[in-house]
Amino acid sequence: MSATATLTNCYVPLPAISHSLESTAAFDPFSRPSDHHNTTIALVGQQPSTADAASNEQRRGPRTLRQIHLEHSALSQSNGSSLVEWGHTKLMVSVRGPRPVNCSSMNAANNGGGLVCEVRYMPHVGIRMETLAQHSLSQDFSSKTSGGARIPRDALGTAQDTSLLSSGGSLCAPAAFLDETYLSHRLYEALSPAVILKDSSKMCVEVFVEVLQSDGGVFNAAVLGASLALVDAGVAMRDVVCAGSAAVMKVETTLTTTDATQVGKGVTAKQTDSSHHHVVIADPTEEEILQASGVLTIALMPNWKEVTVWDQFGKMSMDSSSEAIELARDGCVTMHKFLKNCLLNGAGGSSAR
Amino acid sequence: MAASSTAHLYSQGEGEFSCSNTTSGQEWILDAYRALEPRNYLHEFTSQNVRPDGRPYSASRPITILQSIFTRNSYGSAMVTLGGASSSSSNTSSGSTIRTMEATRVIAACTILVGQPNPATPTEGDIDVTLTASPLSGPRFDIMGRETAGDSSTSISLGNYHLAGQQQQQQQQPPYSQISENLCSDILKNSHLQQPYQQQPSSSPTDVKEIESWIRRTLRSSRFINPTELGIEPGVSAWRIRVSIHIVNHEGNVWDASLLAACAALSDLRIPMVEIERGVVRIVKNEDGEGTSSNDLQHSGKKKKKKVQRREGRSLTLGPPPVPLTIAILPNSNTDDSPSNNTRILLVDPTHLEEDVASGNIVTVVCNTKEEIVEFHKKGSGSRLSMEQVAAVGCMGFGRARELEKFIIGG
Repeated sequence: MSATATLTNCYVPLPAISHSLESTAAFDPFSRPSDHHNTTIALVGQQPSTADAASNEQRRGPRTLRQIHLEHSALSQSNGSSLVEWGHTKLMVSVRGPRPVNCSSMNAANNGGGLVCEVRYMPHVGIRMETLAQHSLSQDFSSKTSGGARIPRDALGTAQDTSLLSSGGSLCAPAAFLDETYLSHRLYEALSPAVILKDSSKMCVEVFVEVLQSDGGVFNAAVLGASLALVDAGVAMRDVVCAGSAAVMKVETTLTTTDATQVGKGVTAKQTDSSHHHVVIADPTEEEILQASGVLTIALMPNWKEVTVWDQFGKMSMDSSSEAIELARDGCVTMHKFLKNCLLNGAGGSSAR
Repeated sequence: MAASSTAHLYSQGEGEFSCSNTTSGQEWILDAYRALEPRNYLHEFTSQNVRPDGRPYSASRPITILQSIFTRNSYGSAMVTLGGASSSSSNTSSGSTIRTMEATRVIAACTILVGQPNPATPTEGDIDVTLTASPLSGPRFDIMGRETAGDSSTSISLGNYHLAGQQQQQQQQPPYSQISENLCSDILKNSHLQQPYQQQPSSSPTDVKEIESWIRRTLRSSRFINPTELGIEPGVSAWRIRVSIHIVNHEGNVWDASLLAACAALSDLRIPMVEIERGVVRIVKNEDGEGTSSNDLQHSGKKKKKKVQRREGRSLTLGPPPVPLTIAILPNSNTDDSPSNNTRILLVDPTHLEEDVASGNIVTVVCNTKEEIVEFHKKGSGSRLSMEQVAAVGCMGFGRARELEKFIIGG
């Protein structure tokens, strides 16, 4: 490949600076950009319910989830499989049913049985390259000195281990780019209380998640898709597992009109202390996570009302924390509704709340 | 409690399928036969001039190409499906989800990099290809995306036999369903296992790296994309298009599916608008249309001392797309292996089972709509083709190129 390559010193082109400054400045929790023009991977040929999607307004509010499309039995080569499209986050899950340990292909190293979970990003496409470059750890290659930001070689390869990245300015960057190892472990922790394996020393169930495109909420979509695929494979489960997340955003609250008058009077000093308050939003996208001051993710079994995973990045006050938990829990319950609907009717759904 | 009731309802739903099919109780026998004796299994069908999925020899599976599936992380993407959805869409029963089985599905997406062009070709950019597989692709793929050889017959997927029964029920061709039913009863009488093949040639695993380099060579040599299209500033910067292809579901013939997906993703590719500042390329997001770009223009006008240059976003000008056609060469086991008796069976667009039985004896022809053969590869040592057969393969390739060009280009 190096012999035929005509280009050297490749780097990922970054967005122009002026635009990125503008976009970070203005965040309105009551009109978040929505992605209803999103095309789905219609595996089945059945039309996704576009009618209600068109009737929705193009902006979603702080408590609205993104549009979701679920599908099971999407792959012929797996015992159970599912496709989840959660806004722009798209992933596929394959479950290789309960089978003897010795023909497992995924846990060749440890010979124990039980549940095996693996999450992988699709090479180059799974994580957006520009965002990765902006948060890369190589400060000497930063955009100011040499111009084009470079991604460390490891991140350019197929294994996208984002633990190498520094959090590049944003408090919640680790929540936005959960790396594969972390996601795999967390997925295992979320699912293992729900999966019933009779003889876990001899049988194993393998869950493989391929993240085709990530836009925040990868863990939520992975948990949802894994539950769906496990049910599709006929694995005995106590309950399905759903996950939801909520972000705490710091929002400038001063009304611009009054602010302007007060600036004229010269009483700005007092204003700056209380000029922001915290707003909790449900189901943050990647860009919202990068601007957030704290992100909370929970996974729970809706029928047992038991939480299996609880993750928090960043800082949030007690009040907003409890509000975020409520919002994430509501998100889980809504997801459970769609999951049930998909299993019973074999249909996807679009969400607005 | 509600979860248990959902599981109950779901299993009831599946029960309907299996009840409606009379032979469903015996489907597992067919599955086991297929997994253990793929050659004999295939021979049961080819001896009566039909293939296990009901196609004639020269028919390919229906092809679905869906473009712009990933709009966020990539600049052009496509998904190619061989078989599956479109053939079953005519049936309008409730279990439509289940009939997308047996479809090869490949996803391709383009990401872009900026690099310094080679001094020998200062105006040319580059196309790079990455092809990956994962355990998603099939039961024989491990976590690294390598396919192990097919001799581990322990990985029979017996879980889906009711689905296979559902599929067979919908086949409209009477000889085909007769074959499978007769086969089922015959196996029960144990009449077929008397002459097993002595040596089972190991099925050749799909070599992902081989396909990857083949696609890279084909895209570069076919002039589907003119490399000078990808230059930004001569001698300073040029685009490198990185096409990432992923085998989502491997049901045979990933060669064709991957190249088609790469071409479709490249035709979907739209180079973004960039501004160049002292040799550094930055992307201008003009998702909001004219408003943002005019704002930015004012902005760049303000800081005049920095030399900012703009290039408009554009799609690429495409040449005739290379259209592949893969044909498996099956030794006809009816006749003796005398060199004069040249009765090979050519199976267009082989499934995974047929590829396994052909054990690497495969012809791939890449044609374009200008009636040119871009490439012709015959792989495998266990097969010989006559000149007439080679000519026939070429003709089929031309027909396929005419058929598929508008899907690749137009979307």
